[in-house]
Amino acid sequence: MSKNMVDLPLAQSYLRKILTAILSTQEQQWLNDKHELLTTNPEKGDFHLTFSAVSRFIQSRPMELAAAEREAADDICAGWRPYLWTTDRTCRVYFLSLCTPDAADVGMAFIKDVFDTADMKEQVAIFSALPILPNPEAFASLAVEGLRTNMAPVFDSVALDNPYPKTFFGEAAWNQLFLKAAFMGRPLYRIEGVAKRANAELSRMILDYVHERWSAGRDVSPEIWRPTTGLLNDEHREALEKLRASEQELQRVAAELVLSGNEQPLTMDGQEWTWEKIGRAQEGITAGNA
Amino acid sequence: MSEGKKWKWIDPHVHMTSRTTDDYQAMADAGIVAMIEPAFWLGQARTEVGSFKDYYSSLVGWERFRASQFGIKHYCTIGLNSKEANNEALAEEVIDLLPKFVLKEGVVGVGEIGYDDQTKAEDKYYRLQLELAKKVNLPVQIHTPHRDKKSGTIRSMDVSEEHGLDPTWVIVDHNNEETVKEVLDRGYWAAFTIYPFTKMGNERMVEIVKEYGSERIMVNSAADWGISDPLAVPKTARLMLERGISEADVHAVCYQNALEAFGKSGQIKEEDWSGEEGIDQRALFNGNSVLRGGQKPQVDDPNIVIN
Ligand SMILES: [Zn+2]
Repeated sequence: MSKNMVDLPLAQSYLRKILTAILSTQEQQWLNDKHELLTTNPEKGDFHLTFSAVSRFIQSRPMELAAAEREAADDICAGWRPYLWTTDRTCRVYFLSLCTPDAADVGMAFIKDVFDTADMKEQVAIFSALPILPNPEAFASLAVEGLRTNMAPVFDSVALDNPYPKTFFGEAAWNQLFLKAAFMGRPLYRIEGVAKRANAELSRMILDYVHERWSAGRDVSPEIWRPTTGLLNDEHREALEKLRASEQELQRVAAELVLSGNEQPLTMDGQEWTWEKIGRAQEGITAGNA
Repeated sequence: MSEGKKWKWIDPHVHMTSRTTDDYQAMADAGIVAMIEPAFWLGQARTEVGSFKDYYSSLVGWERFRASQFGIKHYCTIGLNSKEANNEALAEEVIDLLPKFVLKEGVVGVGEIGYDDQTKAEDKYYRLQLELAKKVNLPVQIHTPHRDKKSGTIRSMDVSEEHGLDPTWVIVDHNNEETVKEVLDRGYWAAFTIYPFTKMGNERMVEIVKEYGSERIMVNSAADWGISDPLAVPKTARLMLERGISEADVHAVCYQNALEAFGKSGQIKEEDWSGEEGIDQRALFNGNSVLRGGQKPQVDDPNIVIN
């Protein structure tokens, strides 16, 4: 069974609609022309040129979507967040959604060919498009390859605010995604599916990583503990006891949340805490230090 | 150099692929805000078209990202260099590859192209690339030969005109005292490479600006894998100021003219490094590095003369 996550025509018309709302008349004209070109007998090379030329014809700016449109995106594909994108990125995802062939192997060859000569923002757009493309399972190895990049925006486009990995990554790839995101200091609450994809092996790896950091006298983000919930051994408990005595509030909250054994919000000192709230607070601290 | 004035420089020809992070740091500290990396020869001849593909990808990908971590905007020109044009079987494949790259973001020209030994093959691929530049509306960055320089430079311009290119869209690079007059007279941009031993020294550069002024003249380092100096632009700027060239002229040859010439691509704009950072740029800095640029030109090296 093909695990198509979404209704592709619905996703296409959604992208078209949010682009129309924000693009200038001139940009829309260009988009119309290229839509025409790419959907009626395009010649070899037309896709590559159009895909690259987006940066020359669509001025990059945030999409600025209203709440209703954010929800609409989530209805099409849970966890899909075009509201965090820029106009050029959205436009490229739209072109990919129009042109990726239906058959899995041909589709994969097409995406691989575009990816092969893609610049950074083009790679970002490719990874952002994966969840809505036909036969999304065909792209898992490409997405895993995306985690090996040293370009943070490319890594983020796979790992953060993208529902693709939680559905299509095997356990080993998932664990690498989570640990590498932690290692790179990325905001872990923006990884889709952290609770759902928790596993004993990852829980062990997290503990090793924390011990390694502590030995080196370095902190770890309180967020890192989340996937250990319900998967604790004695060593975990020992470490979490230390964490409960931490001077940092977020570390103490994280310890209590893990030890509660579930994902339910927790009240501490009159405040209600969730992992997302810890993540947002931690993100504020990290940004403040930069 | 006037204290407190925030000088900014552009190096419109530098091969950062061959340089270290220390160089990036020093360039950022010296006030270089933007750089252009022309595609060129890597010292070792390539034997497969895939090597070119990955090289071009790194110019629009990894190298740009690396520069961004030092707060420097990185642009590039894409082309098949004259040396490797002599491997005709390979050159054919590379020519087919170029359209996939020339319209990518931050590609400000077709370059560096032109003549090396002035062979028939070099001529063929130079012409094909002039046509490509015309087709996609991009400036051309011309590498002029080391040997038989003057006639090679004249020939580069003759052929460019034969293909109908507007001289104001063409940057003729690696000029010297012998070539500059004709290049300027014919309406081209004249770029000078301050490169120890083999190209121009910067004391000679000072004299050229004294004689020809600053119109359509620009300075670059062409720093690469050889003994070269990535601070050639700020050092030359300082030397020019010390030797009585006006601030306006120094600004023109070490910043503004490069911006205007390559700006015709629509891909390099002052807003890219000054004023508000766009959302994408903020993403690039990734919270772990500092945005620089706009500092005083801090050249610590007491010896600013490059011979
Ligand atoms: Zn060069």
